[in-house]
Order: sequence, then structure tokens, then C-alpha cells
Amino acid sequence: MNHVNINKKNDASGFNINSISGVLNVILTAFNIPAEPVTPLPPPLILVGAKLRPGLSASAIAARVITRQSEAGLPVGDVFADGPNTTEALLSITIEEIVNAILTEAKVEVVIPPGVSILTIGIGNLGAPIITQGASTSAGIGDGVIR
Amino acid sequence: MSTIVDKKKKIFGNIAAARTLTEGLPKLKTSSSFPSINNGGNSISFLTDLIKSLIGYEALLTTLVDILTYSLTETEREIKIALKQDLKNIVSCGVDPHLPNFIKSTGAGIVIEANKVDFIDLLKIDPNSIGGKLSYNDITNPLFSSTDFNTFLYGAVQDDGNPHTWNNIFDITFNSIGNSTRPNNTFTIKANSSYNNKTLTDLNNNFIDSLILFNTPNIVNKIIDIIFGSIATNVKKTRKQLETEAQINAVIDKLVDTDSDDIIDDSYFTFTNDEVYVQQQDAGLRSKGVVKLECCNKVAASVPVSFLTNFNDEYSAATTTVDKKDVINNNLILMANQNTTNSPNPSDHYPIKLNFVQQIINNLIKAIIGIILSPKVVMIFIINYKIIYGPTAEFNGPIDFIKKNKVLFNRIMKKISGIIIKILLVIALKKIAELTGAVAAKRQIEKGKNQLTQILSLVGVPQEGLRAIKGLT
Repeated sequence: MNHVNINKKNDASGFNINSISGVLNVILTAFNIPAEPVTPLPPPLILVGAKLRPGLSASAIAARVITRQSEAGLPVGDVFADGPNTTEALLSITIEEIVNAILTEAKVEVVIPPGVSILTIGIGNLGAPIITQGASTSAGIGDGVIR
Repeated sequence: MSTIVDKKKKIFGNIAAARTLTEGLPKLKTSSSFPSINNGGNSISFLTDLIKSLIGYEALLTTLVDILTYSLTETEREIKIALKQDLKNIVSCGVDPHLPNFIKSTGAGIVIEANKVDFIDLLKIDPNSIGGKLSYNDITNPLFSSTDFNTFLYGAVQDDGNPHTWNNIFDITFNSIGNSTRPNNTFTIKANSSYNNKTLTDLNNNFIDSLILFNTPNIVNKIIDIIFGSIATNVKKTRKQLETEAQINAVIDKLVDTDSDDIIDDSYFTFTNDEVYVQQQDAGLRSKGVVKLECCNKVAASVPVSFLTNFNDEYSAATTTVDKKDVINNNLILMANQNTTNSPNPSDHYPIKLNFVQQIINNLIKAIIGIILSPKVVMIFIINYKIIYGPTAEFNGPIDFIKKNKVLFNRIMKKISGIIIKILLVIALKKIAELTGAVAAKRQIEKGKNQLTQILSLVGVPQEGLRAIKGLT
């Protein structure tokens, strides 16, 4: 009594809710929220303020994380950890390694887009190539990536 | 390409991540408490797990009540369309679409043994008994005046030897004593004289249209009986019958678990030793009217038949849809609470009630298929089967019936699950949208704070001040 092919393929769109794959695809799509690009910081502030930064410190970060780990329900220190607090030790190692990798292995590649105003000074040479010395008149905003 | 289980884990992972972002700490466990996290294709089971984790008991109960109040009419309509389509396909195998002479009012009729039409032993239950009132519809006096075909058929059985007419479509006579042309306990079925010049398709369509397949109390009664054996215990179903029902449910589980691309072969209708053992265990528990809750130290839970009787009485007395909805809601709460009575730990009560509501949704398809396997639907298929393949053709039990009509059952299950999935998916997507909206808002705030603290850090504001702005202690 089987007159119809019941083994037909899925809807090509992948959103056929009669199949578990379609249902899962619909739900997974619902989690996709497009992320807005970050607003650039004012260049003059970076120019001035970056010089004031203390730099990364693994021990300072580890100290802050350990101070707050009770918020996640974990015991702080050896007294409440029933012996040496291995979680804290692991946290310290993890942060040390991450900070070390950032400091010693990461590379920042920056691209300054064309269009930065430059003032140049040179002596005219009647149409022939000349050597000039220049300086940008405004802070250029570069886009970079950390690798 | 991700497997189904990977995608399921990813969804629960996304929810856990969203919860952590919006509420602080992970609250979702992707452990065995979500049994649908596997490679199975049962969308309803997965969606109820998902919704359970997203909205909890009260909201899941509201969803179930809405399904039982508003969706069953559409479900019945869709099933009837599928039944008529499948019967039409069967008839198209025959050369002559007209009714053969032997089934016409002037012919000898088609003879069907009662046990070949009653796979679920329904006709052994008196409609006027406590269990009978929960298993039949429209229990009239005399019973053969009922608008429910199962009740009508029981009435015909009680009036041995006398013909009874169903809606001017069939004339049916039950004979407990056989003769040279028929064995004991048979129905002799003839088309009513008004069909002498009509086609088999007319007969089929009109018969299907004349049926009331189910109503809300039928479905709830059936589900509670599937889970707890409440009616089975009351009517003292035999162990053999309960094992047959466990087999039917196992086949339905396998079919529901299929994806669109799966080929339904004979393995869907045969069982391994392990599967048989599970079916026997299930039958054993149902015969005692209890179920062991998987959570909560495996305490035993039950829903006594009196809960169903009260629910059916209250539902019959309710006149408006709102009243009926209230009756469904209140009685499901009573049954859910009843499930917790053997659990000494109050912290287990919430998951037990949540599990109860989820089980009802997960067993909706089994309940509806169980009703389709009752004589009211099986009979018309046997009639057609005998017309096409000869008077000795028959189905060898319910599994054979499902197997030989697997296209129909697959189509019906897809239709029912499609209706339920649509409802559950809308709820799940709504909740996920709320969650992802909260995450997006949280990210925007975080981004704003990051921007502010970075600017302030560049003008020399100390770290303590920056941390205070970001809410870091």
C-alpha cells in the first residue's frame, strides 16, 4: 500500500520544519545578531593618554580575578579551599601565559588610510624632482589588527 | 557539516552563553536532564526540552492547554484529509472504482472477525463502566444510536444477529455464532442501499466525514493512560495487550524519530531483545498503574482514574471555550501535583511537574495514533483491503497494519507533529528573541562603558574609578 515516495529530500532552503534539521536551522538563525562596529577613540586622546598607560601585568590581573572568584561560587584562598587552592594556581598560570603571549608574541598591524593632510617644505627645482621634509598636520586614524 | 547532536548542543550552548551574559552565571545544564540531546529526529521532544529550559513549568503548561484547547480541531481535519487521500490511493490500485456487488446491500457483505478490527481490545470494555466512559464518546442508550462509531460498534456487538445502520453508509451485523461461511464473533458489513450506484471513493470519503475521531478528553485520557496506565489498571487489561500497546508506542517512537531523508524499512517494525525487554518493563509498570520518575530518586508516580473521571465530567459540563480551557488547565495542575505526592523532597516537586507537562506534549502523537488504531478507522481500511486484495486479506495485528500503511502513518505523524512544532517553535523563537535582545542590549551597554572607560583611562582617571564605572568590584 505504499504508493507515494515518503523518502523525499529536505526543503532546499534548510528551513523545512518537518525535519529536525530544518527546526534546528531555524533556531540557530535566531541567535545570529549582527554586531555593530566599535566607535573609534578620539586620536588626540590616544596620542596623549597612551603614554600614561602602566602596561599589562599578569600578577595584577590574577589578583583581581582571585579577589572576585567568590562571585562564581569558588572558595578564595587556602583556608576555605580545603588544602592548596589549585584553582587559583591554575588561574595565575593561565593569566601569566596569556599576558606573556600578548606581550612577547602578539603583533599589531596598522594601516593608515590615504588622505592624511601633510605639510611639506622644500626648495623649488623648476619642475624637476625635489627633496622635501614633511609632517602631518592632524593625527591620522589607523585601523589595525592584533595577531 | 554539523551533525544533529552538534546543532542541538550549539543551541543549548548559545542559550547558556546568553544567560551568562544577561543574568551573570550559567544556569543551564546540558546533561542527561535533556534526553533529546542526541542524534534523533524527534523535533517535539527537542523543542519541549528547549522550551522547558527557557520558560519553565507555568508557561509550558499554558502552551499545552492552548494546544489541547485550540489545535485539536485542525489536527482532526488534517488527519481526515490524509485518511481520505490514502484510501483514494488504495482504491486507485483497483481497476473498477465502483462498489463490488458483494459489498452492496444486495450482496453477501464483507465478513471481518472482531479481533481483526479491534487491535486494542476496545470492544471488550463496557462503555458504561468507569474505564469505558473514559475510552468511548457519546455513550447513548441504546449504544448503537451513538454518533461515535466505536460506541455504535459496541452497541452492535451487544445486539447479536441484528443489523444496524451507521449514518446510512454501512449496515453492520455482529454474529457471535459462526456458520459454514463465517467463524464466531464476526461483523458482516454491507454498504447501505443508498450506495448501490456510488463509487468506493464516495463510500470512503463519506464514512471518514461521518466520524468524530477524538476530542480533548479522549486525548488527555489516552495520554495519561499511556504514561501511567490509569485506565489499563481500571479495566484490567491483560499483560499481552499492554505489551502489544508498548510495541505500538515503540514503532511510533521510531517513526517520529525519523528525519525527512530516512528510509523507513522493516527494521522500524521489528524489535531487538533489549527493545522487547523495555516494552515488557513498560507493560509491567502500566499494569500496576505507576511510572518511575526518571528524576528525583526514581519515585513512583500515578494519576488515579478518578482524576480523569472528574476531568471528563467537568469538561462535559463546561459550555464555553474559555470554561473548557479553565477545566483543562485546572485538572492538569491537579494531576501534576498528584505526581509529586510520593516525593519527600519539596525541591523535586517543580521538576516533577515540569516533567509531567513535557511528557503530555511528547505523547500527543502516540495518543492520536492510538485512537486511529481503534475500530472506527481500522474497519474502513480492512474493508478496502479486502475489496482490493480479496476476502481473505487481513492485517496481522496493529504493527502489520502500521507497516502496510506506513505512508499514511508517516504522513499523519508529520501533519500532527507539524502542527505541534509550529506552536512550540513560535514560543521558542519568541523566548530566544527576548534573550538575544537582552544580550544585544547588554553588549551595547558594555560597549558604551568600554568606550567611556577607555577614554577616561587616556586622560588619567585611576583604575579604581574605571572599575567602578564598569561595575567591577
